[in-house]
Amino acid sequence: MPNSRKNLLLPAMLTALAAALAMLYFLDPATSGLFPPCPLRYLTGWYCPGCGSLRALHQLLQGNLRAAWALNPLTVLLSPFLVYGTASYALFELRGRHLPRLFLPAPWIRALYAVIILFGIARNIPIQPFASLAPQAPHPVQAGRALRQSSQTP
Amino acid sequence: MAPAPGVYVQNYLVFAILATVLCCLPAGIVAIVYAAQVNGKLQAGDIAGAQEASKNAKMWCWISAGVGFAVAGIWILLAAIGALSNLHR
Repeated sequence: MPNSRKNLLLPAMLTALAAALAMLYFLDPATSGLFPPCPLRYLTGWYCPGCGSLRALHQLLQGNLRAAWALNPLTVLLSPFLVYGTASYALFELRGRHLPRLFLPAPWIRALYAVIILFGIARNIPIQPFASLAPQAPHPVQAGRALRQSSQTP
Repeated sequence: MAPAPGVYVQNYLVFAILATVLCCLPAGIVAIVYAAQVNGKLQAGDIAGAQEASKNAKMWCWISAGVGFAVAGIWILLAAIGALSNLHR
């Protein structure tokens, strides 16, 4: 019984992941209104470490590294690790083989945890350079113009 | 220092980070703390302790994901109700 449940869970999770990535590729969370706002930001007005991460992922999928960085640098920095880890996990579930393992010593993980917390605090300080850690939306007009220009160039 | 060879205990760190950044921050942070415990205990040779921490890491990932999906679900429901009520105007 647990086996058959597991066999259903994995395809469901991979399908959900693919759907989420497709949605994030085609829809900009900054404008679509379909994506929920960060609950913390919505309730308190504070930024959490994850604020801007969906918009940043959208920009990353679209290949706009700079726009993604301005929205949430932490998401950009962590994304290679997250992609590798997810791919390794999916490969193990599908083929029974992992990608070469990364073993992170416990202090590194604790350091990461501290970085996430400090990043969350720093981006709420309204003084430079901390203020630039808050999600910086690309200017919509400029972004649109840049997009049109780039689509015109062969 | 590497863990004992041949022993692997999943620490769910990738999912803990995803859950922290995308779903529910507090529960995700707890999951990261347990992920650190898994690797720390593995390094110390405490396999049973690592497995226990692994279980907790997994549970907190699911809690975070559950909260995240609940918030998203409520949001989409509210957005749908809002869109419908605008249609009637």
